[in-house]
Amino acid sequence: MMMPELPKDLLEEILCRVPATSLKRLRSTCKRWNLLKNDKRFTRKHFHKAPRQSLILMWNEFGFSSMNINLHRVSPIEVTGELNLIDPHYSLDQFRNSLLCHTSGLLLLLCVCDNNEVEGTRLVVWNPCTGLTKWIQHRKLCYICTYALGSYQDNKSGNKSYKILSRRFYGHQDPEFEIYEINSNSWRRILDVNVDCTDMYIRNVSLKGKTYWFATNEKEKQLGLFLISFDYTTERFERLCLPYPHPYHGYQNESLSVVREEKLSVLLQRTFTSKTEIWVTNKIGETKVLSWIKVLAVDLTPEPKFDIKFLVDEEKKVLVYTQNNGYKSQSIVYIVGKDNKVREVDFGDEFKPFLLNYVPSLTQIQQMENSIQSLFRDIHLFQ
Amino acid sequence: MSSNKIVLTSSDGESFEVEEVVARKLQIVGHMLEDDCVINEIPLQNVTGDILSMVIEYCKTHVDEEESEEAQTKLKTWDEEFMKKFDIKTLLQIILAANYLNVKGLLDLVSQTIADTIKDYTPEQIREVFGVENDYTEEEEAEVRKENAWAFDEADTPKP
Repeated sequence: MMMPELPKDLLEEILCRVPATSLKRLRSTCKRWNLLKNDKRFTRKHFHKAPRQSLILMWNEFGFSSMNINLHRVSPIEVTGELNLIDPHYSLDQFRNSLLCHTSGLLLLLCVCDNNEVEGTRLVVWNPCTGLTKWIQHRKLCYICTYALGSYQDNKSGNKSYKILSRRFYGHQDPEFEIYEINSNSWRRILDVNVDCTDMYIRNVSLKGKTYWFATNEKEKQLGLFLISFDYTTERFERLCLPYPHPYHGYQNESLSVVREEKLSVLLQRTFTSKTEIWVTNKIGETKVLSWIKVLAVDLTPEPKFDIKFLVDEEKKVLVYTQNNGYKSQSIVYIVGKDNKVREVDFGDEFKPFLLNYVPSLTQIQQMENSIQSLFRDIHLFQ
Repeated sequence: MSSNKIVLTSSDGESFEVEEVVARKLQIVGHMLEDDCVINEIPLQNVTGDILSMVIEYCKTHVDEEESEEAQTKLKTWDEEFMKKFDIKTLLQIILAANYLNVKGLLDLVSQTIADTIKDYTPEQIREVFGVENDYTEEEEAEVRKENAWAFDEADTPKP
């Protein structure tokens, strides 16, 4: 029996439940399926109904590789896919990129063109699942700036929108903060910032409308290390506690991570102790109180040195991490389970020691200059 | 609870006698009963007997949806087993019927089942099953495929 063509709304009802990465592959079915990535209403529906995926990505020279981890295999890590950023201005071998931040399926990267570092240096917000990008110039782009990306509820449109926070240092002076609103395509300075700390780490993680950093305050040395968050809706900083008060000798290692875009996680190793502990919070945003649970405590050999990036599977109690090897450009991924056996996988020099837990989504980056174009596309799509 | 019987007749003339509470799970029937309360035989033109019998089986099982966690888990298991019986072609018939008869729960269930089934399909398989025409030129299709070449597997965070 010949199948009658499904009405538009039924087809949407099905497709909004197909995982984002499968939809990406199925985009070559026909033009209508390809255009769904520009449809805001479909994006919202997909966000609520599609099953959440969670991928492990590792950074390589031109983009990212997704990987699958299985402790029972001889080689516990398998590379399952590659993802390269396509720059409309330069060819791949002409620029270097570095990942600054990621949230809600979007990645924020800094792209530096080798031929022209001044004009060729730009920020890009990229959704690998839809392939959409937004390239941003910053007049103050320089190595003493750090950037973070976060979401907020835009009151005018009622949609979720994104901002980039830039922090610029001047030696010992207070840092200068600027905000780029993706909706209005412009930078503005934020004044009267009460940061409540004197030192913020460069590495950060973003989650549910906030960015988090480790921080210290010279005026309150007894506090030691704590967390600081920036709220993209109120544009305010807030101080948060780590699982326990600062230890007398401080920490030998500390790192931040995100679990499935739901929870924060910290890796802490106190100075003069052998155990590295992994703590995970409750689901962020569900209650006002931040509470921590210890999910793992392991002896890591060889002992990690610095700049650790880690991911944790709370239920299966597995820690995956990598670290900066200093002058050596070799990337090793370490995997540890409850049994405390550390397994190593050498990725050579093609990869960078940078792991992230990425939740793919159809999140729109909202490009104002293209809104009229996409309006026409939408009209065409649903005639 | 009313034990009135209603007769539902499919497009190919098959008749099913069901309790009114079951028939009311089909919102199309619910509305008809509200408009005119003396009907007891309802012709349903857009659904065949074999598909209608499956919809009725779903409605009978879901007739009194209890709130308790245990009952919900049991229903969920039943739903999963029920859906396993059908191939993709039948699932597409059921989604059309669930939409026409307006059975919300079944519509959600069957949409999810179809989504889970087609997520690993190739674009060619999709076109065949859904009767979708490939409206790309060869060059356009190659371009879209290249753009979306990230065919990765889901790595469910560390999987020991």
